[in-house]
Amino acid sequence: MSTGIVTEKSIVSSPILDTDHPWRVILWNDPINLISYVTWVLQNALGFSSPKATELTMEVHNNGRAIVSHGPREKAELDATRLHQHGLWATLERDSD
Amino acid sequence: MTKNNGPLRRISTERFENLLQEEEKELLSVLPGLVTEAIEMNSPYVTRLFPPTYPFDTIAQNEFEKMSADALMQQHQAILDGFCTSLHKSELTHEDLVTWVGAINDIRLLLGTALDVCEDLDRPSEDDPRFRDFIIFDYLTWLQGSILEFLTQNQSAP
Repeated sequence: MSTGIVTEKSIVSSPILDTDHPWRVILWNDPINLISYVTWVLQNALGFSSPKATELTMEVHNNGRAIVSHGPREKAELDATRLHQHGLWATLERDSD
Repeated sequence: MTKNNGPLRRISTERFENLLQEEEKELLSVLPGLVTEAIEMNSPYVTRLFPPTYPFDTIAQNEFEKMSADALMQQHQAILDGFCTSLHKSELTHEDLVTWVGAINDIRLLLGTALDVCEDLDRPSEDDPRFRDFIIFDYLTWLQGSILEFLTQNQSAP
């Protein structure tokens, strides 16, 4: 499955949101996606090891959400898009810590 | 829908025999078209295929959507098309299985949203109008889980 269809054109540059602060990608729980599927996607779309992908998946399942990526806005948007391509529910929020 | 003993048989690390029955292939060949149709009609049931990236910032969401929505739609369509193309192959590759898992997930997201699936959803009774769709959803859940087992075994293979 290709995960490389997002190009530089896809990245939004909004003066309202652009800051030097890093961004978080939040993965949300949903009742449809299988736990085994979410774990597999985290390994294949974001490159996590099997133990780390399992840990994050269970955090999503038990707590309703988990931070699965953070960094510059462009990277966060790319990672969120990769998850959306696989049918996972991911959002971005600014890292305020 | 009767579940067979398994949808696949491993031939080698990267090759799999397609063991789906004809009635399963017949059903599965129809379902991707329903997703395509729902997308084209902008059905509320496709919302999970296009989740908001910035749910609390309308401006940022609109800008992001304007730039990325077409690519995401093409990605979903390519997966559904690839699934239909490979469905009747007798021998499947690892890449075929990756496509299948993605397409089945798209169909489950559409059907699950329409059925309002929740964590503790009970199986509806046979006279419930949702019964047939629920059986299909249940079958797709089994099928996706079965294929994922083969993909995961591939990843853990030395």
